[in-house]
Amino acid sequence: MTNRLRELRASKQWSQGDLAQHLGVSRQTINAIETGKYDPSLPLAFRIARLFELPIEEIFEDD
Amino acid sequence: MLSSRTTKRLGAALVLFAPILHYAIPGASWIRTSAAVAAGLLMIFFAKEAADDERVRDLKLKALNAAFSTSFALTLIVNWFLNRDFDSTRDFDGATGILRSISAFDLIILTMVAALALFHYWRYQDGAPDAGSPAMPPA
Repeated sequence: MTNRLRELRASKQWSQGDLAQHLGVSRQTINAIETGKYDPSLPLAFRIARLFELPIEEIFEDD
Repeated sequence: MLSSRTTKRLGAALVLFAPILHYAIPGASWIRTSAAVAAGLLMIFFAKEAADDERVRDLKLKALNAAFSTSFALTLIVNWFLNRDFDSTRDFDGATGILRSISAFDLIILTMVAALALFHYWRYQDGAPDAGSPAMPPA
């Protein structure tokens, strides 16, 4: 699965730590999602989508 | 209920001091020492992390999975060496033959050491930026 998390985060001028704080996870987890090492759970994906006010499918894409 | 930090410290104390006491007390049993070390390692591994999110739980499960398979295979290899002179026709005949094996506590120690090492290595890798990724915005 690919995602646009890094691009969306950069558009808000947020560091990984800032985004992690907004989502209630660790910075390492944000880095793992951005680098494609980890696919987030559905609840976390929904939290990300709500935070960026976008549908999930516009953030995450199935390969 | 103990906090996660206290649980980890208590676990670390067991891992550190049980072997020291083992060598300080003449005739101390390794079974008791290994039970204390195994308990300490279990406390360290299963205590909550400072940032305990879904990725941490995912990595811990993966680390435990890989560590158990590896340490079980290692146990079989060690046991094979311990019993390489075993002859079932000779050794079972006189009721003197007992297949030797490392203890369950030793298996837990092997598993927990491997699981902790894998977990922290993967967690370190999670924090490392991707080589091809663009620079991070300032914090």
